[in-house]
Amino acid sequence: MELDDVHTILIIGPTNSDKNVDLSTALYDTVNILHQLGYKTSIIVENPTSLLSSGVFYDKTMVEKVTGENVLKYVNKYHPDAILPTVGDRNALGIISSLNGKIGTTKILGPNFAASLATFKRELFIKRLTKAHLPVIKFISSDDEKEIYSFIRSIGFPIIARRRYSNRHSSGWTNINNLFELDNFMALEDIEDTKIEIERSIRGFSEYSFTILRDRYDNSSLVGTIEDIEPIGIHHLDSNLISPAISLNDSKLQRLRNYSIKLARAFNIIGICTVHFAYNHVTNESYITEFIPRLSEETKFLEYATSYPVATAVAELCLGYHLDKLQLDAGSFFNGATEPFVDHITSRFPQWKTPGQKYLGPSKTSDSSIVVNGFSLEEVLNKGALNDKLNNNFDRYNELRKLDDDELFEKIIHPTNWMLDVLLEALRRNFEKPVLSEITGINPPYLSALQNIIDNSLIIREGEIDGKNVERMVEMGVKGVGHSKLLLDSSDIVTKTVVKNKQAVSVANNDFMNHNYFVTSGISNELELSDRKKFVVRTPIITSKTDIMIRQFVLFQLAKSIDQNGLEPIIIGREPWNAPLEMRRKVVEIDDPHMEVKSLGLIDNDSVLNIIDLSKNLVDTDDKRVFQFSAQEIKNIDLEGNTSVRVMVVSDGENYLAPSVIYQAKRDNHLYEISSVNNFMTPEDRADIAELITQELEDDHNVDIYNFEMVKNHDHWLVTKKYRGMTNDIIRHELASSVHVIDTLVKLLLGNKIDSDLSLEKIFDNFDEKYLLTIDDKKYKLLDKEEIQNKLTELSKTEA
Amino acid sequence: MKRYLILEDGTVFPGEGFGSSIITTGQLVISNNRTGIEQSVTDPDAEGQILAFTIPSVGNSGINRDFYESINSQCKGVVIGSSSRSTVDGSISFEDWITSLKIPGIKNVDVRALAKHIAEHGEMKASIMDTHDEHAIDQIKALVLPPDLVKRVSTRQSYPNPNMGLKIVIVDLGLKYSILRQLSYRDCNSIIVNYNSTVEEIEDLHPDGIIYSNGPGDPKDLPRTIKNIQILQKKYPLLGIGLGSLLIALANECQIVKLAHPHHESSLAVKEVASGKIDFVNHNHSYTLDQKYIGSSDFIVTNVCVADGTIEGIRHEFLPIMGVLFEPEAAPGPTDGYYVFDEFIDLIESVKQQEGVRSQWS
Repeated sequence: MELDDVHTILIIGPTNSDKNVDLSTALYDTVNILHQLGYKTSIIVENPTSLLSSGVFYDKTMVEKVTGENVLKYVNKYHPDAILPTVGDRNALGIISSLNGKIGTTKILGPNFAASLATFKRELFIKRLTKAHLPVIKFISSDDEKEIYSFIRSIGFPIIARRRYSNRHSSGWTNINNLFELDNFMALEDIEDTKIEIERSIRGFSEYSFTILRDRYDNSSLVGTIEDIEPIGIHHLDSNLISPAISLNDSKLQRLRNYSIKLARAFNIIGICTVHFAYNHVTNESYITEFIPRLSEETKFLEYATSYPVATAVAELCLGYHLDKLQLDAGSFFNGATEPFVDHITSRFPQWKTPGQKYLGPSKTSDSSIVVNGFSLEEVLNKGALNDKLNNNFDRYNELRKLDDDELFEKIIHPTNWMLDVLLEALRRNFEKPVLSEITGINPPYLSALQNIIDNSLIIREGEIDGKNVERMVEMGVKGVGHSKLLLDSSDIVTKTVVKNKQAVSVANNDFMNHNYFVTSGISNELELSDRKKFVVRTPIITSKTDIMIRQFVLFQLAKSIDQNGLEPIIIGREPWNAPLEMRRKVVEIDDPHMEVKSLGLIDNDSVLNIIDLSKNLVDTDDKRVFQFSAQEIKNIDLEGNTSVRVMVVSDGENYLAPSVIYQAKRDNHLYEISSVNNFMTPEDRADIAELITQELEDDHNVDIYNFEMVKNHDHWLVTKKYRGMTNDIIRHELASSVHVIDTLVKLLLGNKIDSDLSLEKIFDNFDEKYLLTIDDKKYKLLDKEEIQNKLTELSKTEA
Repeated sequence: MKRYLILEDGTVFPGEGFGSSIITTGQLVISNNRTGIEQSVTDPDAEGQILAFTIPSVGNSGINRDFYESINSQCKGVVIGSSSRSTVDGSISFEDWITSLKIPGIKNVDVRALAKHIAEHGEMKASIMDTHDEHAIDQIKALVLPPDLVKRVSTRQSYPNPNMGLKIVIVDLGLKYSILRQLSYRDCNSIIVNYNSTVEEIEDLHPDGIIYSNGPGDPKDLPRTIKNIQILQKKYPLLGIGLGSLLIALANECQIVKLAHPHHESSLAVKEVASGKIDFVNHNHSYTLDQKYIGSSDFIVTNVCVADGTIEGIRHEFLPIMGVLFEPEAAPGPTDGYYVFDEFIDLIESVKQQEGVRSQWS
């Protein structure tokens, strides 16, 4: 049974760093299930946005820097029964490893001290794995030349080497292929106290990651496998990822599965563990390169790929639940003892903000990713990495075709984020596949898939599609409205473009349904819709972590509100969005990278009440129901001044509410923002602002959200900017305001009206107890009314 | 070349043909195996079956002769969604391999829709053909699948798999090589005999234990083997695997039932009833034991399927007999079930020990 002595849990939340991945859905799922199971949870978090809610589930919310010191402070003050670090990214493991011996009887759930420490300390990692007879890359750190040479004699070439200086810094890794290169490396200047670190080189090996769940009774299940198209040497998250790992045969797969389970057992990790492997398909060597005993980008990707509720399951396993006796929510049974079987391929393609070429290496450079689903490699490549609408592949093609063969070869040797386009060009010029595979470390099936895509595009270009090759086209995943239509015109039923469920097809979890779909080819459409009126939301393309968090937040609030108002939310995007678990059975999510859903006519037009378009140009603007959210700058008067307010207004076309006003001030080179300042404004200020808004909205009769920026100049308020639609402020407004702006908007879109004779008090109505103070856009604080009042007085004194 | 997969109920799934171009008919089985195409196609259990693989990009990982589960391919046809033209390890591609085995195949089939159809309507006969007219469908409906599947796959001649340890007689009902691999790993000195070998023939080999292997078809088609079990079980420790365990159950007045959702999946969880331990193992069976009869028999249930509660393992209360419905030898699938062979060897050892004690006393 679950742990009897755990009732209060401190969650180490995510930091605000852009380097960390967004785990907000995982965090929400974790806290939601703990709350439903009756645990009291508190959290330390840097950015309250990642809570995806205004903190209703939490006993205590501390908006603080997530550091070991702050965690310790909390533990000493409140004595929680346990600490849960699984949703805190790498930072949380660092904190756990620093708490050893300092937290008395407080338990660590999930990864323990040793496991956390071993993710940072290479020596410990190697020692523990060697002891458990697990394959690990041999490593030496020494300043003794004899020892180094004897080590290299035992492992052979190639190796990688670097110098580790006494100040903990190190030189970059150098590839060494023979004795001559080694002698040269050793002969380099020798600084005192420098150690030389040497490892067997695994450059060019294929990379795989296996994620397993484990309960405290030593039951483990493999929830998913991922393989990188690019070899080791390129950061895992800069590689194009494929799940499941289709290039492993049964014996290889079982070997790596057994290693993963053995590793989790060796460290006694309860919950989740993702193990990374390097595999050489020529020599059949395999090594464990790292392990991640927490939720991560991989686990998020696997939730997309398999629909297995990973975060919920991990929270329960950490608390001692049996793998086959989990709950999706209090009272709803879920058999976690399943190794999800998917009949489709899910791929994650990294995205970069700027279109130029980036050299890829061991450090991550990508900004976000696109996830797509399909039934063949060609289909996912066509939808993702080679989707011109996402990656400007046509521009890349035009640029690459100008290169001569030598220049192209140069691009093949030095991998960039254009690698797949480079390989396409090389294959067009008949470069030999085995040579390309040897140089790039990309396995032959991927090159064959690229070759198929080239052959395929030739057929399309030359207009030679007929009954003879139409199946081949389908197999290649030929997509795009034009092509699909072409295929639909064919007399054969196999060519239909339909929507299919993303659910794992294993018999083990028939009772766990969600509404997660993707567009593909087939003969049977699986899209299931309820009788309720539909409310469609089209989602934007994501380019950064901040965008992801905003999208997660806005979509979740929108979907929740649409559902609560009795409609069926349908979220359609070029890339998938995973609703928190509690919403997954209520919201229909469709991944539509080629924007085909509309032309398929699978959603009855008459049943759609409204469409909210958070993306650009995805729907006809002529459609009267379409509701465009674009930042429309109307005025932009530059005014000198350090203090301004941002007012968010929800309008029904005639009347409006302004429940959230953010105050912004620049002092001592810091930028302060205080939420819900409307609770502190004088009646005169309110009247002035209301009058200005009325004037500005005079000619606008839209149901929409408006944002105004205003400054007070010589006792008069002036509008400096007006935006229509949601801006990034929506989260701060939504978190800070007791009036749910998004929900109000949905209600107004459904035809509800705002009373015409509202008092100023009512227009600015907001009854918060806690206010959000933001400093420099990075540091957040939750303060009460008195503290905010003091802060405002302090700021106006400085101003004076 | 355009070909059609036609089901007994008249449903047609079009696709593109590969491999042999002959017309083929068999029992259609949906395989949710994640890996192990070589094992599945060469598994004697697949005798008379058309295998539909639901995994994407079949054959990406290459084809390895070392993974064969019998000398020749056994299935009558293969159905896939997509396949890979080249392989990671440079071995032969899936389509070329199927062609070399002279098996007809059909690809670009919507295997998802096919799997759903079978899940809703039950397992049925199917055919891979060049046309899909009324006549073709009538032909499939009229076709009676042969009942003697075990006869086709069982060894005609006994043969040894020599080693220095315990002497195990394996009654070949459609033996997978991986069972021999596991026994060899445990130093067992095995002799493989025909499914219809008489009690005397088996006794003459002086076995320490007998294994009734996995195999294809309906267990009720093998009354003679059931009778043999009734005699042999009183003298020797028995292990039944798959079809073998169903025969052991039938020999002991248990009844079997056909599963509404047959288990053809390489990684499905089973739970050890006594300890609650969960193992992921390969399943390839359409029948299981009827729970109504277990209570009144001398068997206790040792393992159940976590997903649907199906009985997956039994043990006799008084005699040294054990049986598992899943495939402990894996191939393909996780290796969690290997312990079954260790338990059987322990069972034999303990029987031998008891006999030793008994003979000392006498």
